[in-house]
Amino acid sequence: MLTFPRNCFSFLIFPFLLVSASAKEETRNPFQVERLPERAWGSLEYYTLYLEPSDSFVSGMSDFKFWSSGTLWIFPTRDKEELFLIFQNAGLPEEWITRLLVAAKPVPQRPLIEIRPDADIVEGLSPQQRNRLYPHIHTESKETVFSDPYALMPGGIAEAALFPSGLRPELIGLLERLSFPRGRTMRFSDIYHVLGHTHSEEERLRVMKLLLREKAISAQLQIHPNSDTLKIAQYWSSGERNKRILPLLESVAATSGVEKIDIAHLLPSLPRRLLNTYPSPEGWRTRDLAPDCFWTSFSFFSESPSARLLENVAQTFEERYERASPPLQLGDLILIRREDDSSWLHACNYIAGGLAFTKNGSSPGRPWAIQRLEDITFRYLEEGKVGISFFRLKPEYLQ
Amino acid sequence: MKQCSLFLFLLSASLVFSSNGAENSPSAGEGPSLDRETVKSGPQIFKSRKGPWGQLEYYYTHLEAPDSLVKSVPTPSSEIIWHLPGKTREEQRKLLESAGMLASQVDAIFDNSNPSDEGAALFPPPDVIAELSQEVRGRVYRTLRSFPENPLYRTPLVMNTDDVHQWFSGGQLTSETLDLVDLLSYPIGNTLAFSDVPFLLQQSSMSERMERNLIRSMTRTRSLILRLRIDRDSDLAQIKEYWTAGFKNKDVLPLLNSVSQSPEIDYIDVIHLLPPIPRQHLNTFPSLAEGIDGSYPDSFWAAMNFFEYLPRSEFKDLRQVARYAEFAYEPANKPLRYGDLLVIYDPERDLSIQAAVYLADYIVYTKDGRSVLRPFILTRLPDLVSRFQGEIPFEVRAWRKRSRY
Repeated sequence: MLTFPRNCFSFLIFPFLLVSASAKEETRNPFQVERLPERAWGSLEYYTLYLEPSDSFVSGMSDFKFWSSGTLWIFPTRDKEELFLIFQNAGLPEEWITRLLVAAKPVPQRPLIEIRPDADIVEGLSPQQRNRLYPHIHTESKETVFSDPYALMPGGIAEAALFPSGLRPELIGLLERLSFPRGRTMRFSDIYHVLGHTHSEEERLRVMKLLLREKAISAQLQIHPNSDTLKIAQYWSSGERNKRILPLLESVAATSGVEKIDIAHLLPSLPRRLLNTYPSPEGWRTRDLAPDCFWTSFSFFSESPSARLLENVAQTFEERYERASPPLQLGDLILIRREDDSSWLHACNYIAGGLAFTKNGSSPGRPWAIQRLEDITFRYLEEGKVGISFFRLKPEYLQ
Repeated sequence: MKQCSLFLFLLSASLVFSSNGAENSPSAGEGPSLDRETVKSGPQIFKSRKGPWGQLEYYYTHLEAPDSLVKSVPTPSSEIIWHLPGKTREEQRKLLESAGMLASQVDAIFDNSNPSDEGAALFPPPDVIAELSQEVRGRVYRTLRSFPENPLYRTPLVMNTDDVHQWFSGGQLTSETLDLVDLLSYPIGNTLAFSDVPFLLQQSSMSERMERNLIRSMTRTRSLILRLRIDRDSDLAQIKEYWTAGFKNKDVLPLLNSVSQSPEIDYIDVIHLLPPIPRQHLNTFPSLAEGIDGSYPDSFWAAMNFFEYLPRSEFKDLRQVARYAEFAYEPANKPLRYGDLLVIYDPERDLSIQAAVYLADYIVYTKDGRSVLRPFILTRLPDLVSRFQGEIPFEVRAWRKRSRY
């Protein structure tokens, strides 16, 4: 997370992106083809795909490898009085608190207490109790799956499971019951408990993949005889920055009867190659840093992206970007920041019609994808009041 | 360039296609499919044969270099120049007459050139150019093609059609110019070519903008928009197996998994099934930045980098390509698979002419030459080799990347 001086950006909140605590979750048919109103980008239609990381990635995750160790709560204290207060503040009934304190064991030579909670307590916690209790479950130096839970897609397990997963309904039900809200997003921590209910490695993989599912938009530009091809070409070429796509766009527009083309053909070089893929160990990275949202969004127009951007994104921002005036253009930088301390939470690039190109976090388990801006911002609603600001490369910079 | 090791390596590979017809019978599922089924009229959409790749559909798209690139390339002189270096006037006459030119036509050329300048360039008058028959033009230009000093004849515009007007339809050439192109086009292999850009530039009414449009039109290249149809009958397990290329292209698996489970998705553009580098380049022209190390990508660079995550510039050097191919590739057993390397090879000159990467049903990914005015494309193998048929002896040989690479 990056922190910038407050005066280095300004706010330009677009009405359709206004994020507030009253944002609504929608229940949508994930297979439905959506059509966007015709604008400078032309006429777009899209549908949603659900991406999951590979078997090899999932099977390397520690939660997957060590599932059989069972649920273990670790608290950074040796003081049972403090523990009592944590349970009480979380709203646990007295009978559970008594059982948990009896099960509590100090960890030798470390300022920690560990508890193996009974299954009925794990399953019996209400979402609110889970949300209040789990942030306290971590060591003195390390987050756990409880303090840093899985971030589920908007709509949580219910929405993720709309798409076939191959899981038994009772497992999906269990996942849904154990997920809990944090802010406006749904989270999940009890992976060890749920994996204990699985019958095979295949089923464990499917559980993990369901949790890690990400939505990805597949969009097509519709071309019809009345399309304003000059205007559409202007939009997608983004001035001189994405002119490489012009020959194809002009050709397709001139081919009578061609009705649509996948917008993957129209993206600049880097997002085109990264779209709907997961980071590779061979890719751009330093010893400690891997491509994240900032590297991705600041490299959007880059023909030859550099690992250097992983290190000095702030400098690039200050030198190359200026506030974007409406209407938004292809590749405009969208910054989501926390209002109270000016820290940046996320960055992505505008594509068209409320769609953006994004990489959520630096995890190799998160893909590059086009997502709806409202779905992207939804993740950050738990972070208190957030603001969205829009920037554009200065005219003198092509990338 | 030392080709010997490449030659030996080439011989070890599977012969896919050759100019004399060996190994060339399009038996079921093996040879290049020459018959295509039209799906519907309008923008002719064609169906591939069904195979382990699934059911593919495609339509043609014609790419012309963007103005920004055309502006960066000098416009050729409007003077028609033929180079027959190292030849005396008598030898030049013999060459031209044996190609079918009349003695009077050769006389006219010599009269228009400097008679004392033995072996130097010839300057054919435009009326001689205009009166050559298509067959004679084809033979004369084949002679000119053998000399690197004649770039317009050595790398002509190749049109994968016998209808010039259809090839340029939707373009910016006037009908008068198109008639001239039609008049001056000539057979090359099984297709048509055009080289007489200087002749067209001599048309007095040409403004600078029209000249640029003409040069731009001369970069016209046919490519495919290719898509994979997904329906209830699709064997999704087999399709996934095919397009992940034995795990070399595993990045496409999440997307294929998703598409295969979405009942309302009926096709997916094959751009999503390509590895990162070809996906990045498909249907685009090279950027000027790609020549920053002194040369631009060609078909070998495109083919050898197909499965790489970051492009390797050493593949711009054919010696490095040969060295790498020797240990990283092995002869490809039939049937061909996604990602197999195909090389068009002239055994007489021991020369590797062009490389391509096999996708499915004899559709390949390639780039024609090193020019910035040639895009990275998808094309059908029969179309790719059509220009060589009857022109030179050639073979198409196939390799597969070893699984550890």
